[in-house]
Amino acid sequence: MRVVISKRIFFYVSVFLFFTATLNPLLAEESMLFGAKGGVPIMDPFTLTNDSAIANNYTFETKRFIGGPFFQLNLPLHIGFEAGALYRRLHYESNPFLFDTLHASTNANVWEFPLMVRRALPVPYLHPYGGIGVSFAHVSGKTDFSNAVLQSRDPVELAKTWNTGGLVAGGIDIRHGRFHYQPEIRYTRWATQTFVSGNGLFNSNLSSIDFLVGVAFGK
Amino acid sequence: MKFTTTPFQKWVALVVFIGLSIEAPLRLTSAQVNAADRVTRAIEGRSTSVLRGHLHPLATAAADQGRVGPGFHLDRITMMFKPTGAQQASLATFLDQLHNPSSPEYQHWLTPEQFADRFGMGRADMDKIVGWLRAQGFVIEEVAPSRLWITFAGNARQVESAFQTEIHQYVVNGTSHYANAIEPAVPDALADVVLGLQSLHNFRVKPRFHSRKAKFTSSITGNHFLVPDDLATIYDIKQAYSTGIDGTGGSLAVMGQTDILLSDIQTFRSLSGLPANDPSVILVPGSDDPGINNDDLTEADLDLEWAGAVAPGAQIIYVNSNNGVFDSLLYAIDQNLAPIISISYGDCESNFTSSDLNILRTVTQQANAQGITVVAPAGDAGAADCDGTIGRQIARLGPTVDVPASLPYVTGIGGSTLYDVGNYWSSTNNGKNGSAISYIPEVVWNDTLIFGETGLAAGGGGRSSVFPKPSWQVGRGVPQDNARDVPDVSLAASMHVGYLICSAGNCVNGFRASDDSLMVIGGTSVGAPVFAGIVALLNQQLNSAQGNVNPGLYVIASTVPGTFHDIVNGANWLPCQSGSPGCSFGVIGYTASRGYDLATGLGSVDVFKLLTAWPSLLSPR
Repeated sequence: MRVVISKRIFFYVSVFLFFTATLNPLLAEESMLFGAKGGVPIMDPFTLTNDSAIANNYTFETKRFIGGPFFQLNLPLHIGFEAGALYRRLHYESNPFLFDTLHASTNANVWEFPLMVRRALPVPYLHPYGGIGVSFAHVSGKTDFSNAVLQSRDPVELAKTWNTGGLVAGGIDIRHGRFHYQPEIRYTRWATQTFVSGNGLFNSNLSSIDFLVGVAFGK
Repeated sequence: MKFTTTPFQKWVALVVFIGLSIEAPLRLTSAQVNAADRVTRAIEGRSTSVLRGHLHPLATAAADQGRVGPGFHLDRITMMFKPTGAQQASLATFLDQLHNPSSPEYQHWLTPEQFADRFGMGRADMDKIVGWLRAQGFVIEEVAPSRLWITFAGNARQVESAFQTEIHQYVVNGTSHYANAIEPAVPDALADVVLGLQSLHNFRVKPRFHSRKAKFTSSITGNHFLVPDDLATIYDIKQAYSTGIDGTGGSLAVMGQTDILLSDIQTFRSLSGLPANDPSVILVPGSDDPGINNDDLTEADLDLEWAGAVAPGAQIIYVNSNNGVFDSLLYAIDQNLAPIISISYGDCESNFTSSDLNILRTVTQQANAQGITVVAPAGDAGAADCDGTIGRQIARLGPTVDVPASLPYVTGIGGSTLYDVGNYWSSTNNGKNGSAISYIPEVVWNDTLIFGETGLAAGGGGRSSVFPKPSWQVGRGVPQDNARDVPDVSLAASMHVGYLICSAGNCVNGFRASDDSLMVIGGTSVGAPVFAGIVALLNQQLNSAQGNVNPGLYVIASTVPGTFHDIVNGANWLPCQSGSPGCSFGVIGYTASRGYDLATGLGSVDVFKLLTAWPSLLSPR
């Protein structure tokens, strides 16, 4: 029997074997952390534009909590890889027709999935680090109306349910036994606005800055 | 080398020259006639072709009351002819050129007779068809100067015999109608030339207005209503008046299907501080006098009063027919009565037969070719136009748009609500009963959702399922849907700040009736005559007719956006039955947004800015 292996498969297998052989000694020194991060957003999730020609009919409040699990893979040379999930809740109110006879209240849920490569500096006790990566976000929500004629519905302002962004972060890693405490500032720049109002005055903020504290357990 | 000629040769040359001189023009005329000579066989009823698309959707078996008697009279039946393929292509090109400032044909409007020579039937063909109709016993009422149609009258027996159909009686929603029960047929010789037959039924289109007899006292409750002076303030018309632009020297025609009381119009103008200027009334020749129909009277009064309110100096022509408003429309176009036509009637696309739609397309093309601007309401039931027509309170029939507004050759007017929360009204009325101080921000007209009005009351809009997207309908927000989208523009239509009118003698104490009530009107029906009045100002400003103004409106919206008040808040959502077509989260409709949207089109108009912007952008270059 003759086995035919295509050139493409042969290439991929070769690459896989090369990196496995090269990285295997490094991975032997790996350590893993598991934990949770929580914190507060420093920037508002939405922006309101002033336009003298158009009455503003939106208000929002910034929910002061974000949080979720994460894990961190520490590699040699003070390099680490972090992945996690962050949940944040959004809320805004509007009078779609300006008149206060019809009021709309919207709650939305955002799950962000950041992936970050981090590099720690060899400073004792504080172990400062910086990181860079990408984040993916999924947004869902529901609008309730004061008028019973209108059913609850997907927010009309929700233009996209998925978003991607680039992130940078910086923080310190304070270790206490197997516990790690990691206060961090994280900036994410999103590619698109997930919320866009028809009147153009109310939009999701393309930038988000969050203060997070991670608590992790591991080697 | 020298040539010599004998006397005989000279005689031969002379005879040949004379012969050619006589024959050449004959040959030319013959060529023209032959080119249009499309009825090439004898018109005989032995072999016929069925004309599809003539069964009215409401003429159902369930509503059928049986055949009418043979003597039942049918008035003003219209046989419409279709241009040849070459004529249609030529007409489409010509219409583009007419509205393209770079074209040498720009605004070279045709007379109906010129239209006939380029796009109509040949004279010989018309003679043959007239002869055949007479032979069937019909009385010829009108042969259109455009040679696009012939109107005739006869009884049911003659109609049934000539067109191999049956005329039945129907009762729909308690109202009696007649209509053909089976598709009509024409002799084979006419199969390629007849576009359709109009008025084989008398299902009439509905006026697009909402009315209320307001009992409240405005000075106590703070309610506000619009009089002409208010509208002139809100839409920046007063600046035009101050430069002498008030429609003087121009004219516009209002389509109707009822008699009117001139005293209503006179009283309205007097109360509004407008100069006396009675409309001239034309009853379509051959039509019976329709008498007064109350719903139609309200529509006619508001059209005449508010068209004249915006263009107080223009001559207003009221065209009336017992055979429905589309009969008035055909007549007004073919007689070239005025450069602007306002028709505040309509129905959803699916309630028209394909024959009726073809006819309306052809005559509105003719109107544009003659320089006539046709303005119509986009409907009062949001995206659910068919449900609105039958008075449903919850939409079930899916998204549809209103005809004639959805015709690309017509400007469709949607609706807005004046958001007058703030300092927009003076505490006292001026000498013209006006109190508006400035422009008032607008949101989408939706009295159902904003004010809890029972029934479907929101600005019409959506995608045509019949007419493709015209080349000029482009710009920010215009959907890439390959469909003619409506509305084009919007104007105030809500009953929240409704329009005052005088009708059926109600204005006995100022605008008040004897019981102190006011007659307040809303709906896109008002926007149509108001916009027609605005076009009358434009015509005066430019000293010319404009034909289809839509190409210009979309250009100006892109290049001078301040000309329009972009309406960006609200939606024409209306409640719908779950699971019905287009129903999502319990509503059907579209939201407003920046730029064009299917709820309000390009927005409302700053009239003075429109008048200022138009000449610089669209004058021939």
